[in-house]
Amino acid sequence: MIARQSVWSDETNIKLLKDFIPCADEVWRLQNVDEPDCEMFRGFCDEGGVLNGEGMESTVTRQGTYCCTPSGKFLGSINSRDPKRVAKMLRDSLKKWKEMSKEDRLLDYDPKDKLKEIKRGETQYPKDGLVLKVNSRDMPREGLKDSDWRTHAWNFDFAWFNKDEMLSMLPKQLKKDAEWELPDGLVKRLCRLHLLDNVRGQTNSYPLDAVKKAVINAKVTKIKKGVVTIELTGEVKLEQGQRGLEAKMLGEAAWNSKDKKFDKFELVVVGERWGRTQFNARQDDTERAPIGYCLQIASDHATDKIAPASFWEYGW
Amino acid sequence: MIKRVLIAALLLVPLASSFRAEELNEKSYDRIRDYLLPKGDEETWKKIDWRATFWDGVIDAQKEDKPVMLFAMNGHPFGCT
Repeated sequence: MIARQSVWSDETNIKLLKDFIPCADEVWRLQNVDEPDCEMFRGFCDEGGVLNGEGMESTVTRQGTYCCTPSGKFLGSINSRDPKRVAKMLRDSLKKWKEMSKEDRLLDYDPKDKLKEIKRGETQYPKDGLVLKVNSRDMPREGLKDSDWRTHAWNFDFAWFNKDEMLSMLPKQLKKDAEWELPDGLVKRLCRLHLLDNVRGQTNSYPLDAVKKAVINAKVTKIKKGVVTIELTGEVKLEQGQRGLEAKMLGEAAWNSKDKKFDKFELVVVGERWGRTQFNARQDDTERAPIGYCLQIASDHATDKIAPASFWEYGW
Repeated sequence: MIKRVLIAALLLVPLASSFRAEELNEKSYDRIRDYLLPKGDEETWKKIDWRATFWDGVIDAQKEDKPVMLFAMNGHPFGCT
């Protein structure tokens, strides 16, 4: 999360990357799945020494920044939030690349042919459904220093709804002042998988029995030129052991009856979180504290087509 | 003793109230939404012409005869990481 806003916001590194094909991926899958992209990664990832830990244990995370050839040959690696150190690794890698023959650099087959062997969440991107970007951030409070990254930490995830799920959010007839509740199963899924305390880092989803309350009410406030404006209000309470969330929701959606899609779906959630999980950096911040989420329709850009963090729990 | 408890309670009141979530209503909605959304320099990393997966990077690198730079994290770097 920090690297997004340090290393990859650095103008020198942005310029250096003009000579590369930059890409990003989730490292656990690359380390553990037997598919062509993962096998290529495992073929070079330890050549520069195991990042993030001593020894060669396969369980140690290999998260970091790597340079390789399309043929899978190692050029360089580093795990650092220091833009200058990463820039050096990029320059060194580019030098090695220029010294290699074309036969060494490139594959002797078209890597597109292997796409069908790669089964990952992103292949189920619901292009005819609804994709929301779920932004999370701590609400302002006293006691945090402005210079502390945690004060301004921002994270996000994506919530997916396939076409049938999206259509199930609407009643058969849309009339002004019509009121209804969004489907219980979808609201519970949204809350327990996406309204998480991931502001400072990854966390676990909530199990179904942690959902004490999850409701989103909808009301048609306007219908104009085939666009139905819907007011959204709701409440959520999640509780599991020592952690939880209690919050209220407010937002607005605009359903385009002609195109059968949402032109707008915006939901703001504000409340209090408490507790911690192993990796979400709340070890010194477990008391009730304000948190907020803003859910909006995601863009069509490649960086907004990433599968939800807990996609395996969708059961698609 | 009672006096000490009262003083301690008074000292705690401002702290507790400052930790309370701001009320979400029609009046505060736009301000809270804008606060929660990313601001300009938080999305500078999007200026890079990223491919969203390693293999998409390999495909384009093979086509353009360029090296691959892979940013790999626990949790996808373009999602929740």
